[in-house]
Amino acid sequence: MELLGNLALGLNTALSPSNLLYCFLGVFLGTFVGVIPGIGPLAAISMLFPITFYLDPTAALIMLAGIYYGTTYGGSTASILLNIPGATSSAVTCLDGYPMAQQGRAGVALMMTTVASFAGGSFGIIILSLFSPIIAEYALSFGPADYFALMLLGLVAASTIANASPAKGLAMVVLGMLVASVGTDSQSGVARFTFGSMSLLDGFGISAMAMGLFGIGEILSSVGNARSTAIDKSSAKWRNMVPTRDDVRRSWMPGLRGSAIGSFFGALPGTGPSIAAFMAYAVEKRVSDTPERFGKGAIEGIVAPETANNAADQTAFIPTLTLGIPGSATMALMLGALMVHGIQPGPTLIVQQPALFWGLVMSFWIGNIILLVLNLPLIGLWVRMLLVPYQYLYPAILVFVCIGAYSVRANPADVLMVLGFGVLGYGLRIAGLPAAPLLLGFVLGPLIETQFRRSMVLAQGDFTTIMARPIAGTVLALTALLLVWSVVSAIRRRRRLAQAAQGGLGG
Amino acid sequence: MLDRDYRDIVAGVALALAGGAAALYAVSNYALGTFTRMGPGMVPAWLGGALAVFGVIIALQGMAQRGEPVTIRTRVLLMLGASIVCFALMIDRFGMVPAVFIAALLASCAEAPIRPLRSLILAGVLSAVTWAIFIAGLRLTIPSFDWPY
Repeated sequence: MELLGNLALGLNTALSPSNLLYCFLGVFLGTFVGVIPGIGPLAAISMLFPITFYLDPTAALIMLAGIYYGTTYGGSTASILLNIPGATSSAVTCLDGYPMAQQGRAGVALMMTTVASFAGGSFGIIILSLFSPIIAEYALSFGPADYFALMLLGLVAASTIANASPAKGLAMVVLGMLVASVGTDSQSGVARFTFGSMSLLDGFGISAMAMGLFGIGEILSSVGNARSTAIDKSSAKWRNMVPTRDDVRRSWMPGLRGSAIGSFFGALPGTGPSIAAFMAYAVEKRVSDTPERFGKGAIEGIVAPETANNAADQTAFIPTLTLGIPGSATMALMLGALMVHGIQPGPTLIVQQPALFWGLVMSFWIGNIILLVLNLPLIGLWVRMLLVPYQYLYPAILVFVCIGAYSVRANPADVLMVLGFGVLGYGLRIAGLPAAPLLLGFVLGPLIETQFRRSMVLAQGDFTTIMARPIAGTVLALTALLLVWSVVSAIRRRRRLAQAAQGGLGG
Repeated sequence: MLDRDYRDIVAGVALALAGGAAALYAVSNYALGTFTRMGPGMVPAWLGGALAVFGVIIALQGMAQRGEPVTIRTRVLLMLGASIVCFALMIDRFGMVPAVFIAALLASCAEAPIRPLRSLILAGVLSAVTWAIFIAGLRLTIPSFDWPY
């Protein structure tokens, strides 16, 4: 019954007028930005990050989380109507969503997407509320060495699993950790890499970094690209949105399987909504009696990935909130938002800040309901959003980023720092280096260093003592396995590519 | 097609140099300490070393594979850069509305074709909208207009 009491407390917090307003604002802005092709949750949260400095931590997190799962909803709209994913997690939705739109069934696809997103999100929230307290209680016995091992696993997983080149992902994580070491060392008080600059004593700000890398960096690389704007506007009409009986019958099982797959991959470090959506799609195609329908507008092909990515959005909060270990760059930003407000996430968070934790969980549900209510009548608005030329959008985004950066400390130098990180982000894109692991390394860097130094003191400088701990040892072994696996599969992929290239030249 | 992936080679070498420099700087300026009691230099030194190693690996991989030429859009970079710099220089001296106006005007010129009238209207609308949101709505303590001279 403790759970019911907690849920009631959460509802109470989430339903307070101001939190409700920020939840609404978050999901609205998230959908709005998610519809814009190319701007995913990371860019959206980065750009709106400074606003949340003015809110109390619960409201701040409710709003940021709303932006996060709102973009996933909005991202699928662009996938279906334009065949351009609004966010990477909805890329799979293009495969069957766009063919449906070409067959004149865009309205049905949008409707089913919205319902599937809600179902998947709800499933993820149930998993989140059931498992978080258990994991947090278990984690109370973790020592610094265990945290060090878990964070290392998170960093290695995030930099290797989703990236074609493990070397590039790992290099970016390490670079992020190095950037994070700029400033006063928390243990010795020595100023590191400040080169005598007073303003660097506090290190780089997470908001400047995120806004630069993902906000300005995104604009720099997308301005001047060709864009398609051919949309069937009639898809937004109500009568075109009613699914057939057959559609509904076909969607049950894919929805359930998608929710389960999404919940699983969302909670794992390094995977998250994009991989969850991809896996769910692959599983549906495998179990289907008619796999040939996939890619030609099969309803299962949008229901499964859409439930999966929304379920994953919710379960991604499990490691972030219970262990204080984010599994992705987006979750690292959530963690950053908490730390800006002086809250150290970890297993004690649920007990010490029950209103924050359960309020956040219940706000997810309210947010998902708002999205359900908001999306169906407003699809017409989102469709029109897609028609706004990018040449009007990007100056607006740029101006908002500038004001946001300036408003944090009323310091024009922060704006220039955002520009610096923006140029870095653009450079990374050109160089084919992933920017997300950089941010994750930046957030986790100081935490992992502290835990590592503490655990080495406890182990009296003997690393084998750390490996002998049951949890730390197992996790470190897993990390090593993951490293070996990713190196082996990267080498295999290169061989295959090389052979294909030679075959192409020979033939 | 290029016979080597110069993009990866340049990126790898740059990362390796950055990592090496960070490691050297940490070793020569900060105390390393022992493994039991690590000084402030220990972790950055190892991180710099790791970055150098990964950079070398990326560069070596680039040597072994074919690549595509890279295009850098200097015009976009310059116009958007100028826009942000102008905002930073103007916000304290002239206030938010002029800073937004100029920044939006410059930014809208990054993409061809440039349409002066539309850019002016866009800059005007954005100035009004940002004023309404940030100063009238959120009540940020940024002056709307200022004239230092």
